[in-house]
Amino acid sequence: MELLSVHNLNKKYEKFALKNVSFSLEKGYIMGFVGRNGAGKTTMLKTMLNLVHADGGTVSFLGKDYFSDELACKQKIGLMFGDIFYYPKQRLRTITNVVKRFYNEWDDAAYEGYLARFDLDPEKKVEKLSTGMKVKYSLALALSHHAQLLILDEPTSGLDPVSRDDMLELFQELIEGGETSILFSTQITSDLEKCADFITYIKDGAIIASTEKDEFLDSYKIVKGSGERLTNDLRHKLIGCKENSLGFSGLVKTTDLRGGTGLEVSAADVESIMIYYEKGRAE
Amino acid sequence: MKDLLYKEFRLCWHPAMFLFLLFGTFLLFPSWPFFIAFGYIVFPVNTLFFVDRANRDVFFTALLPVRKKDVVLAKVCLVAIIELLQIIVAVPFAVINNAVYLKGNMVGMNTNFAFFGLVLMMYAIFNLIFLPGFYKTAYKVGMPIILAICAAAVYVTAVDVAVVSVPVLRASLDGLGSSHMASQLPVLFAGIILFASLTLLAYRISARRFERLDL
Repeated sequence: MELLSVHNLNKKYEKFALKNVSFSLEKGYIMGFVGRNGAGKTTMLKTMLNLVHADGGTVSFLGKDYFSDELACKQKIGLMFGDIFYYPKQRLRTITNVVKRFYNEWDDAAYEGYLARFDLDPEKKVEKLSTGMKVKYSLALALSHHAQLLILDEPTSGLDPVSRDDMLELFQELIEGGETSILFSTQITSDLEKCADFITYIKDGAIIASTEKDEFLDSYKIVKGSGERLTNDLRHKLIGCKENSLGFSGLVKTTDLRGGTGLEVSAADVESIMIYYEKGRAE
Repeated sequence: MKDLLYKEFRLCWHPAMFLFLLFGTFLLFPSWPFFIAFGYIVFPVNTLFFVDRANRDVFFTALLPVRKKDVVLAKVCLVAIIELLQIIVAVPFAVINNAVYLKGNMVGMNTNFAFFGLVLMMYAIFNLIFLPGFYKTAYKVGMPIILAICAAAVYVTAVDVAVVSVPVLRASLDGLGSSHMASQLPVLFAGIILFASLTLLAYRISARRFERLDL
């Protein structure tokens, strides 16, 4: 069942624009939202949540129009924005006592359970938590009001590899019941390979692809060959290309590959797709 | 709305606010331009909004399932509560001052009913300039607070000088004791009405500006 659907979202700034952003997410899946710094990931999430006013487009959540039913939708959404943490001098208990009042379905037992599971001490002040613990506290708050959608902006940035891996495993556990979905943005492409079911790739405010992960990976190939094989026709088909004295390597859409090219063809991973897309064609 | 007010007191109220309320004790001075004690409202309000900024309070609150205009209303209520508390703390010291120093205030207006009405009007001017100024950006505190306190300072200077030096005003507004109530109570009531209505106007303009902001 479709949980979230974003359609033709636009937002224009002086030097940047979100251009007709559309994607959708079903219940029980993880979608990774990837793009380089400044590609528009955070702007996109903020616009979707009406923290930034869209110039046009629609967002529907659980079949409701988000913009006209924002408060009801927010009851079912858990939010966490990257490295922004609030009230560093306050104890977790104090913040929780405030937050819980705003959610109709707040579940104290569930909250206590998450505190124990994440090893969080409610008497600790926010400033005393490590980055990973802060993310876990945000998750505990979101999960305790039974959010069906977790929107997490760069939850893994600043985490060491072990904590990051723990976090990604946790994401997978959270969606196991089939009721919760996670939309998280990241620049760390290996996060997506480890746990995302769907990938949405944004570049310069426009969505390049939003699709199931394996389909995304299958739709691109890396080609390599000597310099003389880089014909004008092939150069035209390459999304990105690197050349050196030994030859070239480039990214091509699988549909643009014809048999018998005499090129070395290999599978593409998210990182190389992103790098070739961002670097573009060498002229 | 009550949950947002609870949030204001649990997360935004700074312990230093209690200290700032003690500016009311300045009304024990034998003679002084007593409006200055209320001009110090700038300290608690300044502290509140700067600490909020450090705490990312605006963004935190915007993520909660609440209406943006209610977020503004809760903050405006907190500012009004601080102002009223400052008056409540000051009143007993004004009574003591008037009982102890029988000659009254030699360098400014006496602390009588009219005085507190005029203080409320000063708060009304402060709120009307500061709050909509802040909610233009929901981030910049400095310039709106400077403009607001300058306007309040011009107002109280004019009022204090006028009441002390214009005989008709001095006769009707500067007296002490219950015999002057007939001329002073209307000023107090006017102050209450102006404080309520201009603060409400400040809230409406602020809410409209905050609604339009991209966070």
